[in-house]
Amino acid sequence: MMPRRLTLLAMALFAGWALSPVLRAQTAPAKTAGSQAEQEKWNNVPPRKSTYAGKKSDPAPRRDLSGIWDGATSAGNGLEDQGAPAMPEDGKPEHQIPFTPLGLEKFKLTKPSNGPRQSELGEINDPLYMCDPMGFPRIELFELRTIEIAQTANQVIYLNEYYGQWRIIWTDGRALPKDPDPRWNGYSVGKWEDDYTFVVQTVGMKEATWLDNVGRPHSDVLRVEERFHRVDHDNMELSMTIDDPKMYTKPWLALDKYPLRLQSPDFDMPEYLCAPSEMGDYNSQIGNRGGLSPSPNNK
Amino acid sequence: MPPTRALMLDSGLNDKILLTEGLSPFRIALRRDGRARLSAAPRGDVEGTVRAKFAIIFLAVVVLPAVSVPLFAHHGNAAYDTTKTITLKGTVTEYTWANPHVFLKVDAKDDSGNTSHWVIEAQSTVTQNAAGWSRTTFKAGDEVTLDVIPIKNGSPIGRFKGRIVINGTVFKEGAQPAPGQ
Repeated sequence: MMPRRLTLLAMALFAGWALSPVLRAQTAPAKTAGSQAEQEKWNNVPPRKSTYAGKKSDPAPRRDLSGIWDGATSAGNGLEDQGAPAMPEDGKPEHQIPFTPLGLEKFKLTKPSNGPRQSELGEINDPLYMCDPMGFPRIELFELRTIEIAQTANQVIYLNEYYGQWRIIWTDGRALPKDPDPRWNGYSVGKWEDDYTFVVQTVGMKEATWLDNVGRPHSDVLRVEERFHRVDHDNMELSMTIDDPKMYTKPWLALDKYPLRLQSPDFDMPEYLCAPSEMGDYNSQIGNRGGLSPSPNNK
Repeated sequence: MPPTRALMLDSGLNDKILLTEGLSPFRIALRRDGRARLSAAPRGDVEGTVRAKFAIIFLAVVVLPAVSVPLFAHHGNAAYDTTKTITLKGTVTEYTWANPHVFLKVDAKDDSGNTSHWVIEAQSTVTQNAAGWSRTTFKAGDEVTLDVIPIKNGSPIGRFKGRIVINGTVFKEGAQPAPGQ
């Protein structure tokens, strides 16, 4: 008798393999003129900057971040593959990260897929390659595309399209936890500094995550401050400070008034989830064969 | 599933005990006809083997390789030869609308009539959707002409460069969305 787990896994794999050609062969029904408007309600794409450049917006509502916001209209196109947008890894003196010796040592161990240290042929050790959660603050320092924010009496609820992660920011005045069990997305509290500026503190983030796509590290004492500034009805600016005395000699700005644009309230966010099954399929077809995959034993 | 560490113990009865991280131990029995049979190994067998035998072979294996170490999007250009453009002409055999990359399989013929089985990747479903693609943009049997950036290691793998012609019609949406849109 095979161990049960092995049997179940083998069955699942066989089913996936057997069904995949069927699933892929399915085609969507043709869009008819009458249903066009209905079809367009789904999987929306943010409008181009040119459609609203120069248009005046209504004044900002007070103490209100709610809505669907898109960051892909920034200069970085929402990709940030060169690292934190305010400190990209571009060799410029003003973008030199203030590493401590330990921070620099940890940084050198990371082997990213992009940037000047991008790794070749099987050396990448980015934890995203294991379908690990992106974690905070990487969800804002890499692929910051569409987010959705809702407010309740005691929470700000934050939903992130890319990787489908959510955060709760407590606004009930509680103190940050002391020495908490680490979370991928940390523990967050927030308060309004004035009617248009919401300031969030986050602690307790798992050390396994990278800060950004080029592998800046963080420790267990990382503290992240976000400042959401509602500029007017349609525009918000997000700034973020990284404060980690074990890795960096002083706090540094990772986001500097990163622009977020309010989307239509019926904007349907496309889904992007990391699915190990789809990863495996991609890897066996392309990643492994093309030398794009990290070596199994990379740490 | 990431690769797993394993220990293979020689149980001395013409079979092996395999201890795999995260799974119950199991026995690999080598039959006279050369085939191997997997079965659960009771605890007593494992302990007896460890005590009795000192020849332990440590293996670093990829066990149950159905899902190998996954690759996320945004691997850089390092693996691609961005100085080259290849034009492929052929027939679509499969179109996968999934993450981390949408990809297309094409049987492409060269001038001598030889067929290569190519796999060409685009970006994520989100990005391709924004560029006007959908899961019905291609289908098996479509005749396509594609400009492709090839992978460095010579495998028939590439990335869409821009020009796409499907059954004689130029695909106007293009392969990649314009940055900063």
